[in-house]
Amino acid sequence: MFLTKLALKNLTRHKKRTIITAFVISFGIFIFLVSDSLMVGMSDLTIDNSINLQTGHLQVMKEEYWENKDELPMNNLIEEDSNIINDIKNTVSSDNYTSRLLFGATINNGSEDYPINAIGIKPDDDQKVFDLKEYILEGEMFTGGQNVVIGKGLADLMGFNVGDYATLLFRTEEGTFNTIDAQLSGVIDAPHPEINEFHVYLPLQLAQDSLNIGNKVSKYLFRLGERDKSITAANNLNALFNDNGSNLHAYNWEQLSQELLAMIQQGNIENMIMLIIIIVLATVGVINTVILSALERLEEIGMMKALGLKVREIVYIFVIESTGIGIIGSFFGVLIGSIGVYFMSNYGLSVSSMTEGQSTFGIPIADKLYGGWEISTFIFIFFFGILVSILASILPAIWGAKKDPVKAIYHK
Amino acid sequence: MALLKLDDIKKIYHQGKIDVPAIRGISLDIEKGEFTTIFGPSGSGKTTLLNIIGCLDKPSSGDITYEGQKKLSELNNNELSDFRRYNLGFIFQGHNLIPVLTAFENVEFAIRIIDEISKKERRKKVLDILESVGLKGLENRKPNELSGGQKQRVAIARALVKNPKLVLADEPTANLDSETSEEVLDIMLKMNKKLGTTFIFSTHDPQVMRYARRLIEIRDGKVTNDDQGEDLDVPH
Repeated sequence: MFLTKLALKNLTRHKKRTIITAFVISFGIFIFLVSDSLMVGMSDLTIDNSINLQTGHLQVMKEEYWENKDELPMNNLIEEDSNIINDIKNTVSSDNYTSRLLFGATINNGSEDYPINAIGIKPDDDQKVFDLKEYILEGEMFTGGQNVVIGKGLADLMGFNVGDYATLLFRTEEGTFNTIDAQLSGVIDAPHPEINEFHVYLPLQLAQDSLNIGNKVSKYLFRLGERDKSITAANNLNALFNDNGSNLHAYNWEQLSQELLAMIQQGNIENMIMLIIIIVLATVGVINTVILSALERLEEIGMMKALGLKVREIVYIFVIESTGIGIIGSFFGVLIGSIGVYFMSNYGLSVSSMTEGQSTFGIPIADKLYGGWEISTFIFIFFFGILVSILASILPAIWGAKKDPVKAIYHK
Repeated sequence: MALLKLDDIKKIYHQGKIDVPAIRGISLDIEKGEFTTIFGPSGSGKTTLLNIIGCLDKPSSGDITYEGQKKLSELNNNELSDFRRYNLGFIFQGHNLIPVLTAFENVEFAIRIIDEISKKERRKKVLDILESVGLKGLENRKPNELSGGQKQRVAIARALVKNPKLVLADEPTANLDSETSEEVLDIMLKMNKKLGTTFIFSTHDPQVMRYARRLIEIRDGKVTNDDQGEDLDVPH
């Protein structure tokens, strides 16, 4: 206890040095917390955007379709069978169901064309699963007929206004060309660059008729109470499909967002770099402080050894001092980090101005980016700062404590 | 039985390929309660001998027997630390006080690490010893608030507070004026008489030698003279 008291009093010997070393740790922790908060906010926002606007919680399609889904194939589509759909609804305990038909096309404004993803939807069902309607900027969502809704980015690019006519050119399953002339009923400005720039929504019936595929759709899509239920629901459905010998397969939100999650994972590397920076900063700061302290206190170390203190007791004094610096640094790091994260969470960071609405580091955010809170991160980094401080002090402390007492006393 | 028995102590420093003998075979008996001064010119080996007696340095050969039983050469570093902790007190010319601790805490340090007595007893003991060295009322001052003589008194109090059997003092008055030196030496002599503590000094100050009851002269690492008694012939 006495040695602990002495160690803590030693922190007041060179207040400036203690403050600077603690500040270095605080700064590293601040940067980490803000960066982590942005990553958490970005992850939550992008996942929510993706679920709310593009994937839903659960999708059912043929496995063969899944394998080639990026090419928007016209084979391996599924019949919209009400019996199967009811079975699925019962299994996943959700009535929030819709179906979509996706196909590749080009949109033409009379003078230019541009490749897009055409998506046939049933607006009434679709809004049970997706929030598209909430992001209508101009006009309205169609209810049927020869209408389309497109993203703002695409509308700006092609010079379309609500009420204008657009032509979609595409190939049918048989490989023959066909077109749809449709009136632009609405423009969407969604927080998802892909939707704003590449998606054209049209009534499912119109798409099916134009493609001459009867009532086939690409997939069934469901919204569940929470996204965490998706994994169990998909497993249950796949068990059902196996029992029935069906060639359908259910995919949970994680599988549907694989690329997105990979990008988020990539973003987490940034946090690892921040952690490494903290380790380096704290280690250099603490080692420097302990070595300077040991050099300054050589005579004292010698005197302590003469009084009978053992090497481990002298190491203990230095380590406790470093622990004190770690606690001060971590405390203020977490404090200023909390302030930073508070501002990030409440006021956000406008990324649309940085990216001009195109994309955000490859992740589909086209709006303000808000920070997220994760208490576990605050607790982790607080103790991490202290731990790094302790570990960094051990070797220089041993170096100081092992000094020959005679040389230390007489400062040879 | 002698408190300390030094048997043919030699100490050789190796400077590159050259061997520099600092102590060339010293054998001595130090009795309990002695007030002994080791003197000699600079470089004669006084401090080296004191450091070897205090287990801060190890002899190249020879041995020290403590109270007729314990051979110090047989102890490892931890055991030597314990030996110093429980049996020895040190006074250095630089006093080596801890600047962030008060006079009270600096003295308390020596018994806190032994931790054998209650807080109340410890407090009484520290205050008593501070009073004995004339520092009553100054116990809450930090070293930078004390004069050179007062600091050295704190160092004496720190060396004596645990009632060690042996106190080693390396040039304890080197940084003090003659008046303060006398005060400090008076205190040590008083403690020697009051507590029966054995004192060994190294010095080349005739003023210190006048207080000694035994004078050991060292030259070139050898004892050249060893006088005991009340009326010693103090060199000038």
